[in-house]
Amino acid sequence: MKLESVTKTFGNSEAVIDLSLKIPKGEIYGLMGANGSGKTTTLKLIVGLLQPDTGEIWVNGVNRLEHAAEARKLLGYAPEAPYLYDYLSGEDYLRFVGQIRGLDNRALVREVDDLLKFFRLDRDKNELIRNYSYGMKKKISMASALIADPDFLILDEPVEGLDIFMVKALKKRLLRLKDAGKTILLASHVVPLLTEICDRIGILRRGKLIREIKSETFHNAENPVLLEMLYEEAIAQAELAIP
Amino acid sequence: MRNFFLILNTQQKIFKNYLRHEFAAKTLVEIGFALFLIVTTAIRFHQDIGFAWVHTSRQEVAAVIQNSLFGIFFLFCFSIQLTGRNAISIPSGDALLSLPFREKDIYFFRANVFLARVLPWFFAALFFWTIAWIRFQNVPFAVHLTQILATGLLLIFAAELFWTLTMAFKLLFPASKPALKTAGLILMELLLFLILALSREDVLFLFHPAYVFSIYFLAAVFSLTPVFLALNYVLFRQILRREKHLEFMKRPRTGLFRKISDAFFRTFPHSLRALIDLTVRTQFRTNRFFKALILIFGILLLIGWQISHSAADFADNTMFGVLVFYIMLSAAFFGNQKESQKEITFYKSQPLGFGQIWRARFLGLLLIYEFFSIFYFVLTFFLFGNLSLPAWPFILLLLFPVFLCILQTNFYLTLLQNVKTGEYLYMAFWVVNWTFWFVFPFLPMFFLLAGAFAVKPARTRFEWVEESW
Repeated sequence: MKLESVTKTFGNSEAVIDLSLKIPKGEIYGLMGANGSGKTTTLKLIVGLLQPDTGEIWVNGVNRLEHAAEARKLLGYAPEAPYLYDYLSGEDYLRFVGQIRGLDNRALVREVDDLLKFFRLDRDKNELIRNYSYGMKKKISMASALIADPDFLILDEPVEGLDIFMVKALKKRLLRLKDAGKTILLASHVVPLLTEICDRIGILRRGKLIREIKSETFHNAENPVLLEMLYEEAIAQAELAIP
Repeated sequence: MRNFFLILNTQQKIFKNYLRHEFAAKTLVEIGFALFLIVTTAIRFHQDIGFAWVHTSRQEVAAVIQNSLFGIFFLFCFSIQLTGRNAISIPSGDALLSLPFREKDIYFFRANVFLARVLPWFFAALFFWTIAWIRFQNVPFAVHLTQILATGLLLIFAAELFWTLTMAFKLLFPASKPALKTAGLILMELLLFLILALSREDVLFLFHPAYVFSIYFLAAVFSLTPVFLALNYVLFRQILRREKHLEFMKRPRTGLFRKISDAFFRTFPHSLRALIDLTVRTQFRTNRFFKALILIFGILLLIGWQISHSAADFADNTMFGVLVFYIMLSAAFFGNQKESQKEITFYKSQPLGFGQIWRARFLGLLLIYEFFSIFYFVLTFFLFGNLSLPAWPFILLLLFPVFLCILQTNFYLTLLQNVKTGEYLYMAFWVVNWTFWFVFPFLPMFFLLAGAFAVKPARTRFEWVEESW
C-alpha cells in the first residue's frame, strides 16, 4: 500500500498535508495522533470515501483513484462509527456484505459462522441490529471488514467499545492475519494495542506525518511508557518547528 | 446484475423486518385513535348537547366520521410508507446521542425526531386527502378540508401530548415494564381525549361545519409556529445555556401526590419548553438556508392566513396548507439527507460500481412507493368512485413515487461529488431536485383549482354555512 504526496483540504482547513506512506505486504502499521490530526481522513482517503486534492494512492499496484472498485475489492474497512442497517439481523448483515464481496454460498455460511463465533455474537445472530449495544455493533462492523479475507485491512479505532477478552482475541487474530501476509493499517489512541501488534507507528500532527517509530524501538525498551514519551517528544519538536 | 438483485433483496428483507416489528404498535395506536373518534362522535350525536340549534343530520355526522377516519387511515399508510423508507436507510441515531446532552435530554431529542417525522406525514396525507375530496360533491369541499385539517391538528396535538405524557409516565412509574408503559400511555392518552370529548367545549366542535372559522384560528396559531419557535429561542437561550431546566428530574420527589404534581405542573411545561428549544437547536441551527426558509414561509403563512380569514376563499386556505406542507417536507428532506450520508459511506467502502448501487436503490424505493401509490389509487377510486372523473389526477398520483425517487436518487449521486467528471451530473440533478421541490408544493393547489372548476359544487360554501346557521 502506497500513498504519494497526498493532500486533502476541507475548505480552509488542511486535514492531510503532503502525506507519503509505504506499507509493505504483511505489515501492521499504526497511526496515532491527537483528535483532528488526520488519522480518520487518511483511512477514508485510502478506502475511497474521500478523494485527495493531490497525490496518488496505490493498493497492491492498483491505482485507487483510477480503479476505485477494483481497489476496494482488496480492502476490508471498519469505520470508527459503524454503518449498519438497523432492521437487519447481525447474521443477515454479514451475509449481505459477504455476498457483495463475492463469496459463494458454502464459503459464506462458513465465514459468517466463524466470525459470529469469534466475536461471540452467535447467540444474538438473529436479533435485529437496532437492539444491539454499541460494542455489539462495533463487533459486527469489524466482522464485516474481515469477511471474505481481504488482503488489506483498514481499521479505525478497532478496539473501541470492545471488552478486555475481545480485545485480546482480536489482537491475536490480527497478528495471525499479518503472519498470513495481510497488510493492516489501523488508527487508534490505545497505546498497548499499538505497541503490541504494530510493526511501525506513524505520528500525525495537523495532517502531517511528523515521525515514524519502528517496533524494535519500543519492543526492546524496558520502559513500557516509551511510546507515550516518544509521542510527546515528537509533538513537542513539531510544535517548536511550526508553533 | 448479481449485486443489483442482492441489494434489492436485502432492501425487501429490511422492509419486511421493519413491518413485522413496527406494524403492530402502529396499528394499535391508530385503532385507539379511530375508536376514540367513533365513540366521541357517537356520544355527541346522541346527546346532541350544545348543538341542537345547528342543522345536523345523520349524514353529516357520518361524513364527519368518515372524513376523520380517512385522515387517520391515510396518515397511518404514510407513516408506514415513509418510515419504511427511512428503515432502508442507515440511521444516524448515534450521531444525535453524541451531542452534549444528558440522558433525560435524549428523550426530548427523540420526541423532536418523532415530531419532525410525524408532521411531514400528516401534511403529505393532507395532500392526498385533499385530492380525493375534490370529487366529493354532496357536501361543499371547504367543509371537508376543514375536517381534514382538524383531524390532522388533533393528531399533532396527540403526538405532542403523547411524548409529554411519556415523560410523566416514566417519572411516575420508572420501574414498570415496557409493555405496561405502552399500555399505560395509550390509556392516559385516551383518557385525556375522552375528558376533552365529554366536556362542553368538546373536540368535536373542530369537526362541525358551523365552526369552520374556528379552524382558521387554530391554523393561525400553527402558522405562527416558526415565529413562536424563534421567540422561544431568544427568550430561553440563556436559561437553556445553564441547562438547569431539567435539574429537578434528577431528584424526583417521593410520594404519589408529589410525583403526580411534578409530572403535570413541572414536567409538562419544562418538557414543552425543552422540546421547542431542541427543535430550534437541531433544525434552526443545522442549516442557514433552512432557517431563512422557515422564517420566510412563516411570514408568508401569516399573510396567507390574513387573506383566507378576510376573503374566506378556500383556494387561499389551500395555499396556507400547501405552504405548511412545503416547510414540513423541507424539514424531512434535510433530515433524510443527513441519514443517507452514512449509507453512502457504507456502499462506497464496498466493491460495488456506482451504477449498481443507485439503480438498485432507485428501484427498491420505487417499488415501495408504487405499492402504496397503487394502494391509495385503488382506495380512492372505490371510495370516491365517480367513474366519470378525469383520469389525470390519478395518473399524477401514480407518478408521485417517481418524483420521490428522483429526489432520493440525488442522495446517491452525492457519491459522485468528489469525482470531477461527475460534478456536472451531480449539479444537474441537484437543480432538478430543487426545481421539483419548489414546484411540487403547488401541485395540490393546481388540483384544487382544477377540481373546483370541474366539479362546480351545488352550493357555495357561503350558501351552505348560511343554511347551516
